[in-house]
Amino acid sequence: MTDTTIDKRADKKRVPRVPFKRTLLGRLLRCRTFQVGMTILGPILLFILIAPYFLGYSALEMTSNFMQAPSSHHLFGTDSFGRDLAIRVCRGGRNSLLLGLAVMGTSTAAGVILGLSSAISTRMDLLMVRIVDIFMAFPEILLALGIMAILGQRVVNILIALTIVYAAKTARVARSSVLSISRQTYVEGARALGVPTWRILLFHILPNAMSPVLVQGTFVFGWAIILESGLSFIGVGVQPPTPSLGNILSDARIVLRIAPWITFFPGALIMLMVLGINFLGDGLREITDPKFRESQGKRR
Amino acid sequence: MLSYVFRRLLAMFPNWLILSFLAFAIMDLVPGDPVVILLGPEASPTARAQFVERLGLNKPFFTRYGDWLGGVFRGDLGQALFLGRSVSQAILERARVTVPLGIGALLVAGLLGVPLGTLAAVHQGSLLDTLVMLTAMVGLATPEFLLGLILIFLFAVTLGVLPAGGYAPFSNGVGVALRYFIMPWFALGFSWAALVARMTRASMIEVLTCDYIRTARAKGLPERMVLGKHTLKATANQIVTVLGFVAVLIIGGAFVTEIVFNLPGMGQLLVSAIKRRDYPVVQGVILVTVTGVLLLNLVVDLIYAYLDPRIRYD
Repeated sequence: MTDTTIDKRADKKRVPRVPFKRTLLGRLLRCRTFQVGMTILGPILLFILIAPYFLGYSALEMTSNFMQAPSSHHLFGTDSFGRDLAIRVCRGGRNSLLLGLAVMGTSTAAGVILGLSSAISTRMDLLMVRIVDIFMAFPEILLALGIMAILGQRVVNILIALTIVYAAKTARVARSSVLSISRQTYVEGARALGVPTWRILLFHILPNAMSPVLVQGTFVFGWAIILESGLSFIGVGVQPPTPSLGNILSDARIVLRIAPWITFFPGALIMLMVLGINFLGDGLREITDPKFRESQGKRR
Repeated sequence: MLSYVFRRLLAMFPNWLILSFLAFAIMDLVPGDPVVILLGPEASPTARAQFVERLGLNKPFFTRYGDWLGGVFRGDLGQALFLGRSVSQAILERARVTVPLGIGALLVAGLLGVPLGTLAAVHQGSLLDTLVMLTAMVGLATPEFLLGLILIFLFAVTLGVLPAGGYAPFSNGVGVALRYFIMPWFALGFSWAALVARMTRASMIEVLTCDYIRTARAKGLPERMVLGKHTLKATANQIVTVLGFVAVLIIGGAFVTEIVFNLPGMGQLLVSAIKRRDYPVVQGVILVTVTGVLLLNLVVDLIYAYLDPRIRYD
């Protein structure tokens, strides 16, 4: 008993602390691609967080100033109901961002659970692959539309629909990563020692199988924003008057000829948000996946 | 080869059956009584009874599914509730818009993505490479409907050279139809051209560092041959894979693009059917699309086997 405690203490002393530079976060922060992503997203986040305090309008307040061009009163102009566009874009952007983040979380969790289940037994794996295959036969938006048709057009249901859409994709990535890790000798060793399966899955396989899943999660974040805006654009997603970038653009389409700024601002925000997120994803992939680094033609 | 196709179709069948079941189950999965949802709570009992009869809702679920499935094999997807015609008729009519839209967009994605990706890979690290990859990043971040709006603003509103939306069938003359299709093709194809370019570049770079490419260059083979024959052939499979799943993405994207450009295609049909709760139409469009995707995957696998002799049909 005492021996092991002494050993543990000795081990702790021998293992030097990893300098911050070499931790995942440290490496990320020094990665150029990741920095580009942060540079794009930083101002957007700042706008979304701060704008409501100095704009002084509410997102739903209608006035008689229909479709006014951008001015010092209305930074982004007004829409066809006389509502201040800046605050609507800001709120819509926040909704899209939060929804994307939530979808990333839920679909990653679901995907990881499905992925881990395929390491339990061959039968589970076959079942998992079958389920995922079936969902992959749906084009993303069609699956989302079908689910929305069943559940009805509420924000929670968008979250559920997008989670189902992306969980299948993430499960695929998680499965291949989990299966390759579960063939490693140290996992076999743990199995031979009689470590219970759930322990092997959670503590031996999962931490080492996570990096491709995290990369996938980042891209899901971006895709979810695009898909949600698409759903809202065709009128099946976030319902007006609640602002979302997609439904603002849907209104903007009708008045594109006379009020192009209503298209410009929310459009630019979607593009920049997704662009920034994709750069973050590429950065994360660069530092976790040496093969991707090579394929990008970057030296170590 | 023919027996391979047949066996693949057979293997596909269970998945297709499950998918058809899911498509059919949509109406029954909607919470609440479909008759109340469709007719409203104030409908008279006779109207209700008629409606139940028309939808066959008085029969048990599996009987109805069996009837529907039997109809599907005869090409009959049932009657649309609000269109006054059969679902197959409506879909066939709309497919005349959606199919050319999808094929054109796929061509844009491939014809733009593959050459640009190759160019970027060959001139890796140059200004051209950076420019192509940055454009691809922006393309990937632009939803098709947004690009559609930008194109409409540029070419229809500002320059006035193309119609802002609408549709003319190819039977009215190719030139006329092209004027309506060219913007939707680009709006839908561009994002995926960006994806294709990125993937092509990545797999090209991987092949270009192989020893046999260096050998080919060392023995004095012209660069055109090295790229056209040795490299492209080795990457062809990966490019086909990408084009395969891009095609699936394009099918989905087409549904949104149709709404932007006011094209009377399957996407418009589906969205209006969802809003009106015209369930037979929703079931039909979903089944047809999903079947299309399954067949598409089969075609991709066949092209694989053709391109890579190591893949055998058995």
